[in-house]
Amino acid sequence: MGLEVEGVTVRFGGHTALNNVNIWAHEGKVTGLIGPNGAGKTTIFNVITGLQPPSSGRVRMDGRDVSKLAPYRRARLGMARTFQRLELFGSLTVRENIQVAAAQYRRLHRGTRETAQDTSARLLHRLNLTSIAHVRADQLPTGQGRVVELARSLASRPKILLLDEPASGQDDEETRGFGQLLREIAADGVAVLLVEHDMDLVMSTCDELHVLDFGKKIANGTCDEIRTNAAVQAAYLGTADAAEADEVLQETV
Amino acid sequence: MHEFIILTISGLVTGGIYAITAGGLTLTYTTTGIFNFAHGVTGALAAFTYWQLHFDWGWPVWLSIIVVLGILAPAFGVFLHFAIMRRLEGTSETTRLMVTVAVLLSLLATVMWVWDPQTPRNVVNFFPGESVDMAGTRVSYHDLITLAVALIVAIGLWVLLRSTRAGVAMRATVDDRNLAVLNGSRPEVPGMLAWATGTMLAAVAGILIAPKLSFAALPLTLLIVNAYAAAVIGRLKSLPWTFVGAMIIGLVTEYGKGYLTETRFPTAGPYLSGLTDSMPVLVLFLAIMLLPTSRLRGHASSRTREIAHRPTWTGSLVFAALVIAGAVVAANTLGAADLFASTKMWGFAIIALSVIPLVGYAGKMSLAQLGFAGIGAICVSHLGSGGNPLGLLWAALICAGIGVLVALPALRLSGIYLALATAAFAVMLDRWIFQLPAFTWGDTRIDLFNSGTLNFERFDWPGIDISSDRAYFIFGAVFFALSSLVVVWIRRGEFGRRLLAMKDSPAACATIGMNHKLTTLTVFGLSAAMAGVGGGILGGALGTLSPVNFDFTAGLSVLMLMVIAGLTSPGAALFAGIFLGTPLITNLFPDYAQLTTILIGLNGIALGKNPNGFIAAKIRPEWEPALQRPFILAGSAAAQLVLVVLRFTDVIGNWAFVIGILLAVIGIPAAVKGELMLKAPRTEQELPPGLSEQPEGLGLNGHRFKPADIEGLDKLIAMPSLPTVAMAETPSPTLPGARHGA
Repeated sequence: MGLEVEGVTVRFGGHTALNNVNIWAHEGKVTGLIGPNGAGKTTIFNVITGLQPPSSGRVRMDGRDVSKLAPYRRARLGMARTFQRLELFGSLTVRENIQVAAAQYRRLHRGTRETAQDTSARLLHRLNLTSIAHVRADQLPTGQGRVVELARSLASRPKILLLDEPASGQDDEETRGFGQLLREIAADGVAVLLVEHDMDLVMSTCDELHVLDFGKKIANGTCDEIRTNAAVQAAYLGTADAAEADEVLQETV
Repeated sequence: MHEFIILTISGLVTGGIYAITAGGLTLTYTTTGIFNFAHGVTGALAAFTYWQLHFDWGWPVWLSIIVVLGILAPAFGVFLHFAIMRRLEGTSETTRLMVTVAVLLSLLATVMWVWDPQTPRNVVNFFPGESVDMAGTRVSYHDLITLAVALIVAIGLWVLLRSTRAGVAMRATVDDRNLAVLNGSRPEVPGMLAWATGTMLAAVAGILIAPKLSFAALPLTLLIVNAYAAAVIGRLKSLPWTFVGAMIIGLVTEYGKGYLTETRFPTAGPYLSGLTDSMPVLVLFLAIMLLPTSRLRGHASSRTREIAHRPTWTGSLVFAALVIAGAVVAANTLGAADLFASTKMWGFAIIALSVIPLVGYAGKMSLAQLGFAGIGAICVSHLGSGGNPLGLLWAALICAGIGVLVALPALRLSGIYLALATAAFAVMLDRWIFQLPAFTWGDTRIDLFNSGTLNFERFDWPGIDISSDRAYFIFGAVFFALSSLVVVWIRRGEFGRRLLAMKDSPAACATIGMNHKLTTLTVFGLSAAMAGVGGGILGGALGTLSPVNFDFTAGLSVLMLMVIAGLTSPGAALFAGIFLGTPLITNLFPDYAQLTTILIGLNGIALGKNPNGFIAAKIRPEWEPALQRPFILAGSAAAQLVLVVLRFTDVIGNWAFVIGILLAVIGIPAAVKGELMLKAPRTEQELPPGLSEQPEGLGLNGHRFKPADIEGLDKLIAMPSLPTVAMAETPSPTLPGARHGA
């Protein structure tokens, strides 16, 4: 179970941003979604979360068709995301950003024992944000902003977590810790779908990969399978010479 | 049938004029992203200028037309663009809208100042008396000209946008301004062109419609509502649909005027007369309900220039206490006439306060807060007769309900539509609802505005007598102070955080499971309720109220003052109350009633520079340090107390008292600055030899980088301890001074 996207097509006027795309993310796993710039990764996130109505296709959460539900309804069923272009609550502090989401969760789940303050304190601690808890969110550098967005999305205790380039703007050290964190989140039973350009992070963290190119899915499989896939190499490197491409990929990974 | 043809023709003519003005409005909105509320008043300005040239100075028609439409109007548009509009980048939709409202207010006041509304003026049709016969109906030349101009404008705009280089650039700027810049187009040019063309179209419409309306500034100004109703049908972007919308509105209005008459419906007639004027508003609401849902958006820029300050409890309690203390002193010092004239300030202050949660925190526009105050006043007058305070509760409940109903249709759509819907609602209250004669519903006789005047008695609280002006003034202050604490409580609590979150990023709110529609409705209802209570307090102050008190443009002033002072500060509400509700300004400038409005407008226009209002930008930074310095505060308080005692014992008069108080208050930040200067260590260092500025300041802030400085830097950075001779042999290779080293 987890997330299933079936046959999603999105057209903007004459341009087809996504063409009959099928992807999925299983619970307890980190699933990677990679592809060159403009492949349609953010668009598919917007379709999944309901911000972009698709021209056709379906989105299922744990088998339930949520294609017709408003974004906030999908979120209430346990879907959370971060944004590639940061969408922080800029006039609130880091702590308040998390607290808003935690309080929202408590409004919907009356039995929750942990108060919103406690949730935000716990997440601040877990993601090493305690020292900047009182900083206004629009004052943060991008890398930290992404961590705050992750903390905010975790505050609503998602079953499905969509992360749009969460590691960009972070240094190597932070990125390694980040991969570990994603594994831990998935181990709690969350289906994590990760869009990321940092191949080190993707290859070391993901259980399975989907590859998009020009709005089409061109491959899926384990990291090893994707590394040696000719179509992927062609898409990334603009060459069909598998041996040469493999060399380059090996170097970068 | 004959009547139908007549009505159809006049409907098409009216629609044509709406189409011209709506076309200009849509053009500027799509090109620059600024919705110009001042579009109607620009037309008024043009019509009055035309009147001046042709009818007063006797210039020939053609010359007057060329001067107004060919020179003055486009020049004014270009002026608007360069002086005001292009400075608005990076500001929120609220600020952008408010700047055009500011332009509206100042232009309207200017027109009424230059052309005194008491003097009757007339603008007659082009070719008066001339007409042709069409389908058995006489159609005047003026109407034919109007239709022809509308057609030319429609085709002209189409050609401009589709086929010319400038037009394509204009459309590109709409799609993505930054991209357009990267591709080498200069965004200034499309913006300038759009403002020039838009202003010219406003002028054309103003001159064409002037003979049809009673020639006055206000109806021409409010034409904006009819125009944007048409633009909304075009979803604020499609010109063809805007033209269709304009025709629909023109026809509906004229059919309404023709068929819904007193002779046809003798019983309903009086209620219908205002309805026909409100037709465009009804069409607007219908259109809003039928429009497809807008996509949820994230924020426009990653860093907002607008900041909602988080107030502390200490500061807020001090503010509330000061308000009450100040009111007690004022109530005992003001003369009887001034005191009576000032009691209404607390009503205005509470109405202004109602703007804070809605516009300040949630970022949702409402241009109808004074309208809700009018509804609240009606409730208090009818349901709280004899001064029963329960009237205030009714006012709150009924206003909340109506507020929710008004906001409901626009919820699915982006923010601008909420602003448009509330403005239309306020205008409908003005034109129709508040003017309704008495009617019966079942067995109840309902006479909303008592046919012109509402009567109030001062509230009858158990145990407290507030019937005197003095007591009511203090009561108003206490009520306002408590309300301001409620607003602070909202801001500091969970609801306040939700509101700010919604303003910052609706998309992110949805992804954490927040139903932004429900949150918007809640805050809209809350704020309408607050405005309604404010209306009731206002009624209690004055004893009688008429619809003029709740006039749409007066409502714009309330909002404007809040924006100028700072949308998130209760202090701003106090400022608005003092400005609108006391005779302070009229006492100071008795002959310049319009000047105050112009001043408000001019301040509002400056918003682009300082979108947080002057309280956040100027006052708070000056005064906040004082809170940590109890000695200075106590000193000032003691001085003020002495002054109060002196005044009450009649040792000093009012002038000496006011000046003394002002000095004691202004002295606080001055004292803080003085203290800082005394305590601060002398940070000024001696300049290194040979440098004209400290090394870190070289080349910055207008300091020229002189050759001598380079030598000085070399000396300073390279090796000051070594003899100069050695330096000449080992010039620093990384510094520009290396070249001069030898």
